[in-house]
Order: sequence, then structure tokens, then C-alpha cells
Amino acid sequence: MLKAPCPNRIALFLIAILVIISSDSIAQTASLRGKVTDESGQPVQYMSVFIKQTSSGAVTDKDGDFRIDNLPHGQYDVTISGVGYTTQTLSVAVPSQPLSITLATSEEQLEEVTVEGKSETQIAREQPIKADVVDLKALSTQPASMVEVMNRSAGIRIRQTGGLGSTANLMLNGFQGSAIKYFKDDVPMDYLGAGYNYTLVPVNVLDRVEVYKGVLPTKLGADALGGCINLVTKKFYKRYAEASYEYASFNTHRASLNVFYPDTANHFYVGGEAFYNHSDNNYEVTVDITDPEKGNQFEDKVRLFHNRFTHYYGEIYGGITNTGWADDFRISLAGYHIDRENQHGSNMSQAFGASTSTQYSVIPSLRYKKAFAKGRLRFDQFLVANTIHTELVDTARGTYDWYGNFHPASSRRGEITTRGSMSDIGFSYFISRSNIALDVSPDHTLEWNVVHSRFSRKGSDPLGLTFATSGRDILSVPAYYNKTIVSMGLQSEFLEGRIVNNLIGKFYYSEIEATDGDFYGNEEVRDAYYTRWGIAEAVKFLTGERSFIRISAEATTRLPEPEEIFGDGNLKVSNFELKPERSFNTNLGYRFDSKRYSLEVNGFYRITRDGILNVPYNFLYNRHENVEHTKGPGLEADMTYNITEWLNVNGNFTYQEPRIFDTGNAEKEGSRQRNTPYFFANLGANFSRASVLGTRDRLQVYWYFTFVREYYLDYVPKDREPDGVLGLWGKAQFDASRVIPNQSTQTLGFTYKPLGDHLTFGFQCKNIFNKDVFDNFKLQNAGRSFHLKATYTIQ
Amino acid sequence: MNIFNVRFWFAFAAIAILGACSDDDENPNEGGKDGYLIMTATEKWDAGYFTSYDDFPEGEVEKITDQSLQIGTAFGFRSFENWIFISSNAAGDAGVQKYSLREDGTLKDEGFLPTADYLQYLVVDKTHGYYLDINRSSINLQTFNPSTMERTGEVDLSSLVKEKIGDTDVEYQVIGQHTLAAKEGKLYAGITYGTITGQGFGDDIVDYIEFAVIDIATNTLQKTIKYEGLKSIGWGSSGNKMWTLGDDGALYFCSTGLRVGMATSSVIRIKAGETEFDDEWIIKATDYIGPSSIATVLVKDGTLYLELASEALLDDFSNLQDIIFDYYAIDIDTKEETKITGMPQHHYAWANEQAITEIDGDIYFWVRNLDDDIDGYYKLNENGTSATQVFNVEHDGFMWGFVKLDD
Repeated sequence: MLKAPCPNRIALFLIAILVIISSDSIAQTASLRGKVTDESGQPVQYMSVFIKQTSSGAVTDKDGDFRIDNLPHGQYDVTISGVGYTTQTLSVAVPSQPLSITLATSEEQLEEVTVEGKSETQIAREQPIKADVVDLKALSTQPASMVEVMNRSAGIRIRQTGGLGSTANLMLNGFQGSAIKYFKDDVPMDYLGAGYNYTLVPVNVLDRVEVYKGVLPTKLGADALGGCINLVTKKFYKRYAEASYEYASFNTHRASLNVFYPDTANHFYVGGEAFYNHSDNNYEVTVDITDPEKGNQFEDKVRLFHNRFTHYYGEIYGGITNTGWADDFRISLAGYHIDRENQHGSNMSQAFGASTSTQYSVIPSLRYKKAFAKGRLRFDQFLVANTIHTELVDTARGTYDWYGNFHPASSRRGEITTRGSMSDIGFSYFISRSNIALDVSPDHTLEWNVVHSRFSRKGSDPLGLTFATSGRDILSVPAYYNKTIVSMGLQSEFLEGRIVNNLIGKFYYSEIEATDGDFYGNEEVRDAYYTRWGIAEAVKFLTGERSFIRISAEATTRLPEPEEIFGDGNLKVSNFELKPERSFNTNLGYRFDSKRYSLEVNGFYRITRDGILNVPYNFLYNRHENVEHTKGPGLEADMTYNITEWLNVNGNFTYQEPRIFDTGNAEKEGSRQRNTPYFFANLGANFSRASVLGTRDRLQVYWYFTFVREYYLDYVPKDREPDGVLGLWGKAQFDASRVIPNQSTQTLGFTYKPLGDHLTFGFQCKNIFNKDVFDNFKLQNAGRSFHLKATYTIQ
Repeated sequence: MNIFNVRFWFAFAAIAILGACSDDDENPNEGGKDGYLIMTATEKWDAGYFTSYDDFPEGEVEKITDQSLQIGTAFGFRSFENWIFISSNAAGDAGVQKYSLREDGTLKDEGFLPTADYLQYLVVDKTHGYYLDINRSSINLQTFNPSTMERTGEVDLSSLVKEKIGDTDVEYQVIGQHTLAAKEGKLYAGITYGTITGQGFGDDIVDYIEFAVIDIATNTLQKTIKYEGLKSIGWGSSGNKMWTLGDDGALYFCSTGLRVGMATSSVIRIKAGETEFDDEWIIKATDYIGPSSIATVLVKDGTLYLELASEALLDDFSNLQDIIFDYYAIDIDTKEETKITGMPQHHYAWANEQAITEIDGDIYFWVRNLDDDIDGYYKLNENGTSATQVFNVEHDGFMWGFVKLDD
């Protein structure tokens, strides 16, 4: 077993600081705290909270929270007011339990709120550290997947290997794979496995998706090389229930349920969420068919026959809130189960017809939040321990053709590999995430974040590989992986907030221990230790009331992930020679918002060394490798224009030039990174109108167009690239057969609310012209599909 | 509509048109042109290119031209007259892939027979060929017509299936994985007895070489033959078939010694007019410098040309890829060796089927030595003991073969 890593001492040190500071904060003070929400339970920021008797007050923060300190005991009139909401005055006896205040919207001022008020989405967009925020509230009633929604954003490109439930590869500013990190409510979500990710979570379960390109804020502790995705769940402050159901082509069913019940008087709450995804994924693809007699191939359009995917996820939670010892103490128990039929490998040269995969886990977790020292010190702790079980069955003694016919072959024990598989692997996780924020002055906030992850793998495969000498099942020998990421950041405001600066330092540590076979098949215990430092700087200048400039730079590291080193015991093989990726990234951006339109332009430049990519290996296999160093600029622009009150259009494009360098190979030097799109664009139009068929109804019609320029699976020498400007048209100047061709798809849909906001029907047709669309290794994705979704909300 | 709207919709229209662009159609030119062909890989084990040349390459050769085809796997190839054969298609899928040259020198896809990984194949003549596809059978060989690239049937070798050899279970038996060779109307197919884990690569459970002898005219098994004391001939994953038909009519087979300690690397033969191994004749690498790995031979005028390492090869492969190889001419009768001079030491031939090749009566040697900026071919001088460079590919990649395509 591995020793406890030294960063734990750093965590202990930080906790000691916390204890010292908090001991001062426990002194008796009479303060008034509370939370302001709107009628839907969403927190409301920038509301004025004023006490008439003392002429003191506060403004609610992004969570709708406020605090007024040093109040003598007594009775007070507290007035809550703000643009867009009806003013409310309460009589409150201090000391008091935290208040929970719900404001009603004011129709007269609603337009003003729309213009002047800042939603959480907008606030996140305007942080010094650039974040694209996909506001899912507006999209929650569309029968759209998160992948589609995110693909409509500039700089983001997600490629899926198939239909619902298939593997996805997200690319941000040219970074992809594990260079991008994923969080759920600020916590790294490795422990959730395939059970909870952006491809499966229904859009109406989340509040928003924060997409950070480049620098990560201190609170998101990860060794991300090129940004991260933070899935932010909905927050509730009053009773709430929502259910949705979607039915779509290919026998696709998606359902979600979200309930929340608070008891403010007794300071507790309970809630739960659940969702279900199922699809036969039996869409048509054009594949090469092998003639059983003649042995040669011909193209034919066939329907996938062994591609079913079923996924259940559920979580129940309960917590105590607003007590003397905890602002929020939440215990959660989640679980998921995935059944998957495997239709093909990393390419579509061979159909599989019997192999299946299963993954499941039960996930208990705990979260504790508490503010000390009059709110100047805030502590947030998350703990989780669980085991993800994965099983693969590959025991068909023969092969399938694309028509679903089985062809026995006595030499095979499996259809995916000749050896076959009955692997059963347990991946155990323990993750601790601690976050401390300290307001050292009104303009300066210090923040520490420590994420410690412990991971181990142990399993078995009666048909799998064994060590040649000992005969032991390779999977039966445990492998360990520990990782600690410590971040420390200072956020400062200058010139009355016109300049906001973030300076962040990071420490990365990981250790790996596993047993590998040497050339002769002897067991060999191997370990590796990585220690790295990183630094990031981000600053935002307000250039006007509605515009700002952002500049950021970072030197960052990405440590190899367990699955990159160990493989998956199946189609992804191990590679113990992996080194951490390193990157220096700079970003420069400008944003302007007005009533009429918004414009955002961002440029970036990156220099990445030892980049890790999943690449084909020995035909059917993949493995992660340190590919060549990469550098290059990129540019993305996004514009939204409100043509009328009921019609707006949006467009964006991304052009990036990640090119490899220091290859020691003149032919490859300066080539574009392979298997990486370098130009893609989106267009969209939204029509929204109330009182279409009745007095309380609303209709929204939308259309989206997506284009991805052709790109290449292998390196194309720079002097042989398409000769159109920036490579935007033309063909490679030789017979480049390994090409992902130009792809363009269009989506058309509508949502209709017949009776206000409670009930919504959504319809969508994706890929309406049934164009061929492909993934990384030229895997064909679904063509045209139809989706119908109903959503019902009770508040 | 204001100016902004006009621009916006213009941009949309431009992108929409861009997305509507269609691919060019396949050039319908007929194939079958003569010419010269070089295979290069971007890196040693990476994707690469076939590039054709109208004339014999001389001097510095441009590697990627308008006559290049990008291929997903570049690990050696074979030819038959003016046809090219490789064990994967351009996308990298395993199978027997045939190309020819169009009039403009570009490569034309002439057909593909998909197989499981680690196939083996042999083109006997324009209408007869054999291949192994363990998706169909690891025992019965498939037959095909190279002209049409269609499978034509199967050779039933089921009588050769063995459950046990002595007391040892046969986990994995495959016929033709490493060797398919033909002469005088007979097909010689290597029989491998291995393990599930090793899949027949260097895991032989017997201490002999066994071939099935099949009559090509009737596609029937005639007998099996054995050569005692050696393990494995050829290496099935390589584009190099690792045997040659000498101008004396004999088949010469390379035993690489890979994964069996290198010390047994040898050349053995079946003489003209014979269907049994020649037990009286063997070339052993250890009779010259020491353990080596013989993977390429050519026999002409009583001389056997091969490459040998200048130092003992280690069984962990740690020096197999070093620049330590030389070419030798060995008298077939006396077995006396003569080192061919005029060439720097070079990389192991491995997958290069044409590492030693004969074109228009001349013998050429592949030499890769990037320390001296050399990756090219040398022509054997008339004295038979020295060679002179003919052409060079200046690159950082890897050349995996050169051939003249001649109908």
C-alpha cells in the first residue's frame, strides 16, 4: 500500500488555521442572517435589506444570502426591496433564526429587471476567469441532450461514439480527453463513473453548466490542462417537484424526477432526484459488409442491432440547515446502474452482437458548509467513498456480421478479442474536497482548496490475461493511485471594482503503484510519483458599463489518470510510461452586452508538452500516449442579436491551430494535431411569442445549424494541407484517405406552454436532412431523429 | 432589415454553402500501370504513405507527392507483377488489400478481403491465392482470386486438428499464420501449436517446424513435413513473408529466433523437385557472428544474400533496433560468407519484404542509418562484394519497402 502523501499535512495545516480563526468567531454576536428567493425558489442577488431603526443594511449575494452584524437585541423593521420585486417589510426580533424571505415579482418593473438585473449565469460569465455558462433553465423544456446544448457554444466540440450512452470526447480550445476535468457542484466527479455525466444528465436536472476555458478558479481543484466543466445542480429553498418524460426515435425514453421539501422552522430538508435513460440506439449506418461467400466488401445501410443502453440514477438526500454549527450539513446516498450492449469497437469495421457491459455503484457522500467570523471565513467540506463495479462479457465463440447473423469460429473465445472476456473489476474511490475562503478585507479574498483522491482497482477475468510466469490473473493484483491537488488563490478588486484580479498557485501530487508484466511475463511491481507546481493569473478590466476585457495566463499540469495508465482491462491497454502533460495557456477576451446584442471575442494561445491522447493501438485497441508537443493560437467569437422582442439569432465560430512541434520529424513538424477539428461554427434562431392560441400560453420555435470542417485522422504535412485560406476549403494535396469529412446538421424544434409555466411540451427534429455525421475514428452517429418531451412542475 | 441583419444572414449562407460541399468522385481511370513504389511510415510504427514513381528513383527522392496515398498502417507490403498487396486497408482495418497504379500514378483500390488480425496471404498467380482468416477458421485456409479479389473457397485441413501433443494440451492451433509459400504446384503452410495468451507468436509448445503440404491444383492436403530442432518460421504480423524462392528453384525459409532466444535464427530450405525439408542443409546465424535474427534472404547464382547483426542480439530485444546490421553474401555450398562493403550499418529488415530485392537482374539492399542521413537503396556492384547508393529518401520517418511494378 502507498504511504499517506505529504499533501495531507498541508490539509491538516489548513484545517488548523481554520480552527484557530473559528475559535475567535464563536464569540456571542447578534447578527441577522437570511436568504432571499423568488417565487420559483431561486436565490435573488442584489436585493437591499434595510433596518429602519439602525439605518444599517446589506445586499444579498449570489446565493441570495445576507448578513447584518452587531445588532443590539430588540425588535426591528426589516425592509427587503429591489428592482423587479415587490418590497416587503417584516418585524423581526433579534437574536433570530436565519430568515427565509420570498419576494414576489413586480410586473411593472419586470422589464427593468430583465435589463439591469444579473442572473447567476451572467455573473459567472463576467468573472475574471473566463467561463461560458450554459443556462439550462431556458433550455430545460427542450428535448435536447446536454451534448447538443453544449455543442452550440463557441469553443466547445463534443464528439460521441454513438447514440445515447456512448462515450463522449469533449474539446475546449483544442484540449480534449482528460485534459478537461469535470465537476459536480465544485467537486471532481470521478467517483460517479459513467453514472452521472453531461451526456446522461437531463438538462432539467441542472441549473447550469459552467465551462471554464483555461484558468480554473481556486474552488475547482483539479489538474486540468485546458479547462473544466462544472455541472451546477438546481438549488431549492421551498417545496418543489418537477417531472419530465421524453420519447424519441430509436425507442429512446428519458425520464427525470426532482423533489425537494424544506422545513424552515425545524432547519432540515429532504429531497431527491432520479432519472432514467434508455435507448435501443438502433439507428441506420452505412458500413462495409463482408460478403460471406465472396469475402469482399460492399457498402450497405444497416440498422444497428446490438446497441441498447439502459441507465438508472437515483439520489436521496437530507440535511440540516441554518443552525449554530452548520449552515448546511447534507448527507446523500446515490446509486446508478448501467447496462450496455456493445455494437462495435473503436471503429466500425467489425460488428459485435453478444457482448455486454454493466456498471453500477452505490455512493454515500457528505457535505458540510459553515461560515465563521461574521461570514468572513467560509468552510466547505465534501467526502465520498464508493466502489464502481464494471463488468464486461465477451464470450461469443465466433463473429457477427452487420445483419446480425452469427458465424461460429472455434478458434475464438470472444467476438471482440479472440481471447474473450468475463472481466469484473472494482474501482474504489475516496475523495475529500476542502475549501476555505477568507475575506481579508472588503476587496481581498483568500481561498484554499484541497482535493485528495485515493483510488484502487482490483478485479478478475477468467478469460483475461495472466502473468506468464505466475499464471495469476493480471486484474486480480491491486493497483493504487493517489492524487492531491492543493490550490491557493487571492481575488482582489481595485479602482472600485473596475479591476478584478485573481492570482492562483497550485500544487499537484500523485503516486501510482501497480504490478505489470515484464517482457518475459514476470510480475514486476511498478510505481511512479509525480510532483508539479502551477500558477495562474487572471484579470478583468471594465472598459465601460457594458463591456470588459479579460486577460489570463497559466502554467498548468495534468497528471495521468488511472484509466490512462492502467487501461480498462479490455480494449484500452495500460501504459506505464505516461508522463504528466504540461501547458502554458494565455487568453485574451472582450465582451460587450447591450439590450440589442451581445458580442464576445476570445483569443487564446497555448504551448502544451507531452499531451496525452487516446489513439488506436493494434487495430482494435486503444491506449493513451504522450503525443507530440502542441502549440498554436485560436479564436472564437459569439454574437447574439435580438432582431425583435420575439426573435433573436445567435452565431459563433471557433478556429484553432493546435500544431505539433519539436517532433524531430520534418514531415510532422508543424502539422495540425491529428483527429482534432480546427474549425466549427453554429447558427441559431429563436422565435418566442406569448398568447398564441390562448391568453396564458407561450410558444418558442428554434432552429440550429452546426458545421464542422473536415479534419484528418493522421498527420498531414503542412505543405500538403488544403490550400484554401486557413484550410477552410480545398482538399489535402495528396490522397488523404483518413478523413472525417465536412459535417453539417440542422435541428428544428418548438416548445409550447399551454397554461403558464407548469406544463410544457417540447418537440424537436435533429439532423433534419439526415446527413452523415461521424466521430473520432469515423464512427457513424445517428441520422434524423424525432423527440417529444413533456415537463410538469409543481411549486 | 438593417445592415447587421444582412451581414449575419450572409455569414450564415456562406457557412451553409461550405457545409454543402461534396467530395470528389473516384477517378474512374483503369489500373495496372507499371512503375516504382516506395512505402514510408511517418514514424516506425505509425501510419504512412505509398508513393509511386514513373522512373527508377535516383538521388534524393521526394517522399510525399501527388502520387501518394495515405495509409493507416505502414508495416511492409508485397507485390505480384504490377499489383500491390498489403495486410490492411487505408483505414487500417486488417485484411488483404490490393492496389494498382492508375495512369496518373495514383493508387487505385482494387479490392479488400477483410480478416481477423494477424492474417497471412499468398498470391500464387493471377487467379489463385490463399489467405488465413481466423474469423472463418484457424485451420482451413481460404482461397481467393487475386484478379477479382473475391474469395473462391476453402482448403479443408480439419484432419490436422490436434487436441494434445504428448501430454500437452494444444490451446491454440493455427495453420498458415506465419508461413504460406508455394513452389512447383505445392502450397506449404506452417502449422503453429501455441497458447491462448501468446496467440501463436513465439509461444510454440513443440520443438520442431511443421508444414502442411497442399496440392494447389486440387486444394487437397497431401502430407505434413517436419524439421526438428527449430521453432517458428516467419512472423505473421509482418508485411515481410520471410521466405524466398531462389533462382535454383528451392524455397528458403527464415527462422527469426524472435522470442526463442535469438540463438536459433537460421535459414532452411526445400530444394527444387523436393517436398521435404533439406535436413542436410542449414545456415545458422551463430555460425558467423553470434545470435542474430535473419528475416530477409535472396538467392541468386549460388549465393544467398542475408543480413546479420554485428553483435550478438539480446533475447530481450534491447539491441534489435540498433544500427548494427550488415549484409553478407554466403556461398550456398561452402557457406563461406563475404561482407558486402560500401554501405554503412543499417536497421533490422523486419517488415521490409524488399530489404534485399532483385530488379531487372540487379540486386538492391535497403540501408537505413539516420545517423548518416541515409534511408535508401544500394545496388550491388558487379564485383559482387560491394554496393553503391542509388537513391535516398531524406526524412525522419521510416521506409518499409521499395518495388518495381512490372506486368
